[in-house]
Amino acid sequence: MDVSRIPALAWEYRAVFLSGAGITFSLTILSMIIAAIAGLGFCLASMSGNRLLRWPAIVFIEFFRNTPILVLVVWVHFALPDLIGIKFVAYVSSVIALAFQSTGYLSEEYRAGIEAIDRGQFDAARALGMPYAYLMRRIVLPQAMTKLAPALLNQFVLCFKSTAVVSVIAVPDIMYHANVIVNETFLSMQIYTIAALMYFLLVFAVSAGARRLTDALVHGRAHAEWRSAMA
Amino acid sequence: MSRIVFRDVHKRYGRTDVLKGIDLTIGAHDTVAILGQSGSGKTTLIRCVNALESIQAGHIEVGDVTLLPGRLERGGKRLSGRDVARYRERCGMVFQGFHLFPHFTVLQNLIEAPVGIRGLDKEEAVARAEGLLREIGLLDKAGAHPSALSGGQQQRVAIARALMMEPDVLLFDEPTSALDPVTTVEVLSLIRKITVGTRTTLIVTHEIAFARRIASHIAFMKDGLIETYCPTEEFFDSPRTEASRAFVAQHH
Repeated sequence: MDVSRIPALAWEYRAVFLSGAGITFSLTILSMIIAAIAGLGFCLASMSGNRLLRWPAIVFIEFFRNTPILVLVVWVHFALPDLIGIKFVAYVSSVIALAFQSTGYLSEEYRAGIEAIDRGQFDAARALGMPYAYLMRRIVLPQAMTKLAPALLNQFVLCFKSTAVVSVIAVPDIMYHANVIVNETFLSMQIYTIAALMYFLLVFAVSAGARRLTDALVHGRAHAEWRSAMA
Repeated sequence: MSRIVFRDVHKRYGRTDVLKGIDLTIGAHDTVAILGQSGSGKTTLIRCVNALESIQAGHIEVGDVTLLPGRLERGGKRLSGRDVARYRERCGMVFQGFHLFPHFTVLQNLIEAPVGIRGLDKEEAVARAEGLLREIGLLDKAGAHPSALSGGQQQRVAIARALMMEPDVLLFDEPTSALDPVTTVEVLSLIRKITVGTRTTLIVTHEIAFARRIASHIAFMKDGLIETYCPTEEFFDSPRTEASRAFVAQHH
């Protein structure tokens, strides 16, 4: 097997691989933006006192969390249109499925973050006359964010890795292009190795960036408190 | 200022009865110290006053608002969620654990509720907050975060935070139980300064000598009931029931 051809091949097909990477990134970013918001919504619904909100939310969250991403993608693309009468292009189906999955995971992270906040904070806020929405927005969620920031960034990385499955519904991401090139050239070892290396390098870079960001956020707040203590 | 009346109030947590029929009438401007062993229901009692806990039976009148099982009413009309929150503004509460908001500075802790909920002008709120901080000797800490303050300082800020909303009723839940003896004195003298003869005040405390000094009445609780309720001196000089006699003897 000829590994020496790998660099040349990577260079030859750089355009398609880079465009594939672009798709991978855009899928991840779009899905995560949706999931960050929807996750909070589902989380609050799942903790609500109102049964009509709570049970559907719990059911959806469990469905999203327990279904493998490949199955979700295929289901959203082929089954959901029949259920709701709207057909999606593959890209949109992918965003929906990836958003569903991240929503499922994030809503549990949000719950953990909120439940980690001392009950006394709720008591003090309520005792001052703060309504629920206000105290969540001003008191609880800002505090939860310190715990949530790492979780959100982790989910970003997870989502990024999950995008590889969208190749099965012909979304032109890295894996899809790899499959196409292999079909033309039969150089499966080299091409799939390039694809794997690309994912590895991209995920590694995103993870490292995420870790730096988390440290800055956590350290940043601690630093602000330290500074005010010294004043 | 608000009169507080409890009529046959019952409160249960799960299967445990904590309040088993509380009857109590507290006049406006009175300062009532709630004494008793741990587990007698003292904390639960005051948490029912500002609707942090809901009751299962009976009712509590606080001024013109009535707290009933599952709802609050004014003039026979049920209060909405918003109105309940507004009712809570009228009751200031100070907790054993202080519960200052750690992500805000001391000043921000004080002005958050007045500005955010009452819509008070920010400059006015800051001026008022700084005035309060000056009074309690913590103006230099205005820009600090709670984590930079000692326990006694945090509790004094917590008291100021409650006062910023100009409540009719003040509720203290063992305000010095988490403090060492020296800082306890700081906090107790602040409480004495602000409560004597002004708002209707309920204070759950184990500081018996302090209770004797500032309270107009003592409510002695045992097993979820008010065992004794009478003027302070009567409680300490001539306790009428056996349990209160034992309690007074124990703390002399």
